[in-house]
Amino acid sequence: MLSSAAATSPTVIPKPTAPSSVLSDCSSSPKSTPPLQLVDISVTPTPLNPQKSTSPPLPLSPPFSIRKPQSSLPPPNSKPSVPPQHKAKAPKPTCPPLPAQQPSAIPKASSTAMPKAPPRPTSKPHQRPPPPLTSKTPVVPSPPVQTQKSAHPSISILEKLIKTCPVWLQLGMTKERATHILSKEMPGIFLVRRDRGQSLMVVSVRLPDQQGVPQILDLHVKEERGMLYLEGSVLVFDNIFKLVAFYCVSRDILPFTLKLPQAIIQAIKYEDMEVISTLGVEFWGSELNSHIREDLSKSADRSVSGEIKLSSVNDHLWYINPIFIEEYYNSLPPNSPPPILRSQSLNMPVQALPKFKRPPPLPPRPLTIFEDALTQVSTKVAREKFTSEDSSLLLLSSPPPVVQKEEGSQCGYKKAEGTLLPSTEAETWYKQDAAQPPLSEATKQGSGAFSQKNPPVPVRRRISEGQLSGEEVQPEPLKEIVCTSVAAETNEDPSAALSLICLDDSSIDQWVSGQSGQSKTPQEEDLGDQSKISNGDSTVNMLPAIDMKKPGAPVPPPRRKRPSQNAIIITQDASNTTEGVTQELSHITPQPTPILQNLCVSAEHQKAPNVSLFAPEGGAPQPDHDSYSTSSTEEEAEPTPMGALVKRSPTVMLDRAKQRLSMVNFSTVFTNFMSTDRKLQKRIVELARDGNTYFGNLVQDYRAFTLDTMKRHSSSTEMLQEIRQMMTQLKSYLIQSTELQNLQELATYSEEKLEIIIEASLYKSVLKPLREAIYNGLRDIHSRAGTLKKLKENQQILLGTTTTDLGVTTCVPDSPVMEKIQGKLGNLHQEYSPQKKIDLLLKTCKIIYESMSVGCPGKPHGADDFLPVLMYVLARCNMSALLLDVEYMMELMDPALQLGEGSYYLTTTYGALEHIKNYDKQAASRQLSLEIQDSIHRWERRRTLNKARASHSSIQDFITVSFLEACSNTKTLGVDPNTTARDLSAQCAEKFEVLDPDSYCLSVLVDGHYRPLTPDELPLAIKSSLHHSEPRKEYYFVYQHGRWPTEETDKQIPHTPESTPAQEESLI
Amino acid sequence: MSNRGNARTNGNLPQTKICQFKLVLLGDMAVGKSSLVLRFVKGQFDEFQETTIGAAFLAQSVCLDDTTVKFEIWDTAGQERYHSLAPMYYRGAQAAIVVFDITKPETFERAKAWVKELQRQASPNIVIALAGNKSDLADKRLVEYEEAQTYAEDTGLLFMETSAKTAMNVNELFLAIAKKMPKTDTQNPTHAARHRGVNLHDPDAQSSRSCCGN
Repeated sequence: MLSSAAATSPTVIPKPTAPSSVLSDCSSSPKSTPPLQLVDISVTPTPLNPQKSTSPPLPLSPPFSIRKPQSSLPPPNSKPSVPPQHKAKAPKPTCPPLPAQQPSAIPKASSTAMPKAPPRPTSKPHQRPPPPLTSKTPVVPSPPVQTQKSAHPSISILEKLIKTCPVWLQLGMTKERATHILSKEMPGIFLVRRDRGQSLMVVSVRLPDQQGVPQILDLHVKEERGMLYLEGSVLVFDNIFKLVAFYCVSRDILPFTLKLPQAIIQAIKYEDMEVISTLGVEFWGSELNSHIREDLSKSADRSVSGEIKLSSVNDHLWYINPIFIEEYYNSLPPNSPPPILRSQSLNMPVQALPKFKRPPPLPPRPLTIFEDALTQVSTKVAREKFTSEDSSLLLLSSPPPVVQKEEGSQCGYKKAEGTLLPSTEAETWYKQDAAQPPLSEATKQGSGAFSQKNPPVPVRRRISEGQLSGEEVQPEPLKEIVCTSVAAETNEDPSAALSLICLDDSSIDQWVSGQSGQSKTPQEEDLGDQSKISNGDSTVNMLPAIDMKKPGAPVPPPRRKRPSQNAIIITQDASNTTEGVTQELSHITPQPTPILQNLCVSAEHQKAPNVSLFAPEGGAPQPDHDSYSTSSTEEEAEPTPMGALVKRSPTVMLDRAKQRLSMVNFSTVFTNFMSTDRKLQKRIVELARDGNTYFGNLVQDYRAFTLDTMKRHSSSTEMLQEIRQMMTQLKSYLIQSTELQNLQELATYSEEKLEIIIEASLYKSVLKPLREAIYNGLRDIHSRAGTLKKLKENQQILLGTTTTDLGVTTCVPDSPVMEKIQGKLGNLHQEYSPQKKIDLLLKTCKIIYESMSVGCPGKPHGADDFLPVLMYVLARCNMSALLLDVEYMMELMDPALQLGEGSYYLTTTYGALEHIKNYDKQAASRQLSLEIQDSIHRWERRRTLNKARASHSSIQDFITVSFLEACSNTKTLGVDPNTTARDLSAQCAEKFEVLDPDSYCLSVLVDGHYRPLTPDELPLAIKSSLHHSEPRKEYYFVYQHGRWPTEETDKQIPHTPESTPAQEESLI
Repeated sequence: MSNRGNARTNGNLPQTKICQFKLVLLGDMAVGKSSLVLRFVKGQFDEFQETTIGAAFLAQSVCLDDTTVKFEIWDTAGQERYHSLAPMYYRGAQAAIVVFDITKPETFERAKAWVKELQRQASPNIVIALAGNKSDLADKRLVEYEEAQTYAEDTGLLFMETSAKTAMNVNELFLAIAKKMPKTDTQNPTHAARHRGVNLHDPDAQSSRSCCGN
């Protein structure tokens, strides 16, 4: 479908300003060539020079958000963008012919716009909205032609990354192996792996040889509030894919951009990528890679030399920018952009690239661009009818309203722009921009790019807008795109909208449907179809709204805006998704498609809660920016639930729109009454992450220990119970710990309230990182027991039965409702908090109830009616995932919580799953095992026992022991305050599989000295005392060759004094 | 409806004891299990009613003198094919209402089977009530009152004929159950309010609770 869309609006493709941002980045760093390569595959080389133009950092901003700067950039929305448009327009005049770029490019345009504008500050936009897109043209001589050429490279970098992640995403790979592989590759080639001992990912990049020796650079991927960023960079991303995609086109803090293997770059068809991805790691050694390698080596050299070929770069820009733009800045309908991107990329990747080449982003800022965009939009709007929905959309967002007014004629638009945007917002924008630069600089720690130019930042926004406008010059395509997205949104058909807008959404739906893997292509196709349809028909009903959105979207505020938004979005959900995705990927790697789905799911997950918001959001994106200040957003975002709901999906415009809406409507409110709790929760989460605190240490050790021991369990209950128990212990530790009491926020909290907040914090700091591992552990256990297989088999049987067989006497959910339910359950699976999972389960049940009442409204339905329908529904869902979820909820839920209704529906769901698992068509499944019959009772007992136990028990603590030498082969061992060095040593012998335990002993390495422990020393006391020593000392427990010391003086010297407090703490 | 007087009297004063019980509904399909409960829940005690997403799970509090008794009412599917799921619901329940339709003798037989199963498999202290529902259809009665009454007496059950339609004996039934429940499991009111109290469902839990009581 994408392709078709692309075909329809090939010219549009160029618009995707994304390239521009990329280009700009590249320009900043001559080495940026790598991105070019990516692009190159499909496209011909374009004028590289423009890229050089030093505004590279700015373009980048769209895709990611700046972490710190957020506060400074609140109001970037549409208005600010407007000015840029003017500038952008100016450039356009130079190459009016570009019309081909059109609407589809819009998203990209935003990104591109910035780059374009600077290069050519002509005022095309006004003159010719459609053709103006030329911003690209300036860079590239003949964009249209390029677009045609580019037709094959329709697949975006992000997509390529996602589909080929089995190749480059090697979470299990050792550093040595990665180094080995990369040493044979050309500079820029990279692998993503996981840092041993840590959960963090590392991007290993091949650097140019130094003195003939291959160099590998390890870039640590850090996580903050669920967003990922490269250490030292200010840009944050929702997930590793976006991060990598961005760095494929923009180098930011890197010496040059990342490069994908040529084979992947050159892959034009999804099939090609599937071939590649099925190779997985083997790809690196395969002929597929080697072939291309040689070809590349030449090109690579060039790129390394300095500014890479523009042509290649151009391609990159096209792909990447759209995506980023979409996700971050597009104020337009969040969902719409992705489809566009594809189509665009397919049609004319090359053209787009030229436009953006980084040059002049800054200068273009002027409002003109924005105006142009508006005019374009307006024209489109005028053509199209406004529906009530549209109007509503408009109302929601300030920009949209403008559009409506303008709808009649371009002039009208301009006026509107002038009035609305220019007067207040625009000004504020400028002011903000001016103010922002300092802020951004200050905030940004690492990247000089950001800080380097204050003006650039503001410019970016404007530029982007301008670019958009310029790109949009080909108004129709853009409009169409927008329209489609909008239409989807307005329709309130979440699925449709989702599909159009984001891959994620569609994927989600599919995922929900229960087939995790295979459906990818279908989804994509669907999306493509939708997009095509939209493009072709340009379902205008929505157009106005779309237009509105478009302007906003293109405008994609500069990084700064971004940051604020991102920050919001970043919060929890995003992190969840990303983590989940990556983890899932690691498992699924062999199947590219599944990964996509997962991603989608995650994205959707975020969005899902907001479904209702979709339509409104689409309309209002820009206004939101203006409306809220970053500072407020920051707090709100982090706090969580609210932020998560609203902001979650980092991707796409929807999110933005949502954010804005949310910002306007809820944000302030929430901040007011939620922020304190959130702050405290955040503090606790930070505490848990801080390895320098005892609690943080405990949490880390606990996680490591859990991961290590998880596989030993043969029963899921046992496994989960252990986790729950540790969480409960952590909680009771924290409540009494001085570390918590040092937090000022505590003062006002009752213990009850505090426990709730701590519980939520623990979900985030413990369960979130462990969720995938827990799923895997459960899956293993169930696979071994054959449970999952039985479930699947019986699911098929069940699907073959009639509703009568099931005992259904009411209406059952129709397919749209089923999709909704599947979506909810998909979200549920992505959720890490048991509490939220239960909430989602209840929502799902509510939807089922509602669907049952369709036939006879008002009639209350009891279990006689509900259970059969639940069976019917479950048979059409991903039962394997749900089975894991049910166990997860049951066992990990805070035992102190009385679930009430949640308990009932959890029981019912569990019972239904068990029923299905044991379903025997002939016997009509009369029997459940006694164990299962009693399971709920036992579960309740467990919960109560747990609770009782938790209040009395001492806390399980851990000691990390290295084998033979410090920091090597480290294991985390569970200990209690009474565990002696002898005990621990015995554990070590087992853990490290030492054959002659007698020849080993435990030592503690402090200040460079190994001190052997005496057998009766209490390691935990030592740990505690060392940990609390001032200044804090680095210490390592090492299990190494040696004999127990005989002297007793040793023991006491270190221990006695300090051990007491330590013990106390640990006991606490 | 007529009987509510008692139950409704006092608001939850902070000092009243709060007992929470899990009550399970058993009975054949279409005997009016959920109608019965809905009548109880929706009929009179709006202020104590908790909103739920559907009628399969309902919660309702009843005030008795110095005690607030909160029922969490778990409905079960009456279809024979889902019989095997029932134990999940009634295990750990402190009370059960077994419902039959006085116009359908087979449902009475089924009710007797449920009672037997409960007495065999549910917790020993469970309070079981037998409800002959649809008493408004007395002209179509096929199960005689005396027959059911005798059976209930023999097996130690509470028994009432009820009508969800007219609300006859509905509140009375629940009040009778509430009165019969052991009140030893009182929760600290504050706890209850916070929904963070001990789990009353399980005897073990209760004991542990009272210990840590706060």
